[in-house]
Amino acid sequence: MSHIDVKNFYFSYAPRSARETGIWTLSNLNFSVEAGGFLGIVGESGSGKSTLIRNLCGLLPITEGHVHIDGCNLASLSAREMIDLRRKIQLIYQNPKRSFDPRMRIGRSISQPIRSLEKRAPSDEELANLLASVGLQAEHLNRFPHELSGGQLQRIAIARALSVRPGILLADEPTSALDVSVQAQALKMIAELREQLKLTVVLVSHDLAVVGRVTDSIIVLKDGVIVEAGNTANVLLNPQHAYTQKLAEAAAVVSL
Amino acid sequence: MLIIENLHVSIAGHTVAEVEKLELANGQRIGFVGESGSGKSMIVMSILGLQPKSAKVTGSIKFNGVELIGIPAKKLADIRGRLIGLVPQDPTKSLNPTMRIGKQIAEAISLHSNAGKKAILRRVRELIDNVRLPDPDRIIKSYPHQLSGGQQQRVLIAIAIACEPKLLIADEPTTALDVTVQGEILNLLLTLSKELDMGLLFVSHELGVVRFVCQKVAVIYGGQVAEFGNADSIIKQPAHRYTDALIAANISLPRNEIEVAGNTNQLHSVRGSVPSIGEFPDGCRYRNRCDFAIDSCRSFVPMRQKDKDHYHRCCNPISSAEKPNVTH
Repeated sequence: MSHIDVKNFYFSYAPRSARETGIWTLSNLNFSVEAGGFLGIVGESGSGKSTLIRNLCGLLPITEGHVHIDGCNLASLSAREMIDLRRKIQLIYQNPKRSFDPRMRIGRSISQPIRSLEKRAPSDEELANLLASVGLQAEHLNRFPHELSGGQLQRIAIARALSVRPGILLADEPTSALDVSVQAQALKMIAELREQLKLTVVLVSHDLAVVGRVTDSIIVLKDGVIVEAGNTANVLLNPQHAYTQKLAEAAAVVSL
Repeated sequence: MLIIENLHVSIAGHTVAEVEKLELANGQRIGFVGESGSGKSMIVMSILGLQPKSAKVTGSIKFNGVELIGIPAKKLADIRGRLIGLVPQDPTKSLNPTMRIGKQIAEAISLHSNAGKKAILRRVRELIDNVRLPDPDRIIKSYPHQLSGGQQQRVLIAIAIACEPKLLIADEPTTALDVTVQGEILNLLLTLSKELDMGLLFVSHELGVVRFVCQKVAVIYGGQVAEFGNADSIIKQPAHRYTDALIAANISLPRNEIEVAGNTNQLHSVRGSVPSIGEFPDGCRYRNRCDFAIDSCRSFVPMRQKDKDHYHRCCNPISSAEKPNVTH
């Protein structure tokens, strides 16, 4: 059974008018990710990448079609079951500087998922171990977000997401707000933790180079429609759709 | 056209930028590359007199023979916008949200000339055409929020080139944009620089972007020029360990099966992070993050020549026998 299964899926922020006009934000999406798989979603701003990520973790409703996570139909979950599901799916956001409460010390920030989803207060040792898993030290627990660099914060965001031992990690442009010098580090960390923890990962990016380095399959989104999908090597080395070719050219121009 | 000599910028007694000598000829395109906090923007902003008020600037920045340091504010304001244009980093935050596009472009023209209304409107249309925006009538009447990020950046480029400046400064002009839009904007800047014989000072943290646009590259670290030379020679044969680390950190498009997916051994980052102002080490600024630091890195490192037009300040440079970019 697939870990994430999306069938005939449509979404609109204004579903009633979408049913009349047939204009959807996301239109007829079909794809699945096996347990332990690494899927990349590529496309420009406005293509619907982030909307899709929000659908997958239940932050936006399912308008039409089916989204199954771990065998559960997202559309038919009760509020209680949704909370259980949240533990299994965790998110990393684009801008790490904006995904931490500036008034909270890091230790408190990263204990939040455990507090709210597992209803317990994690020990300092547990938190220190979390930071160690992303190459940071226990002393960082007492720091405030503004005292840390973007790269460090993004690693902490990864640690926070993994604190509740999710099976699925959704990463929405996790490298694009980072300096070039640490983008690779964040990407590598996600790839290595996925291997180690047998995670299913969905990585969203506008940059084909980023997605191409780590994922094993890719879907290319344009205006809410999948224009190309397949094994990463095939899509990257032999793109068929004109839009994928355009994305590849754009990434090649600035590659070294 | 632009000659920087013994430029020294300090904030609260801490040196944030020091450039011994840097020259930009007419129509030449030079890129400043470095991480956030490397001091690249500080150097650029001192050229425009836009450095923070607390910054103390000494030395010499000559533009077309005119000394810019210590120049009266009024004279500098005349040079800025007329002879030197600026394209900012985030287009979505750089236009007035309550003013129509046409008026914002017109403002840039009327500020530096006494052309009549009709002539200004004609020039606005010409500029919109220059930056390859379609449908000038619609653009003139639009508000910024009605345009995409890429279109807004084109408008800002139109404003920057309104008075046909001799030098265009672009401070990370594509960082806030998508990869596909980035390519279009880079192409536009390159074409305009050639068409208008306009010098370009391009600031970016991505070497790939800079190589696409510029002939010369200055790698900046700790407020200093760490390496300077032709773009190709810097990327293919870097001498400085910092340049090499930056090149290795670039995530480039996989070109073969080996580079695709799962091969995280090919993902590198620059070790450590850029220190805060005043916390850079003496001698080589990079030595506390460098895996190849030796004793002589502790003392002042002068600029040395590698080849014709290729300079660097590394005590333990990459030798020609070493294969660059794989050492990290």
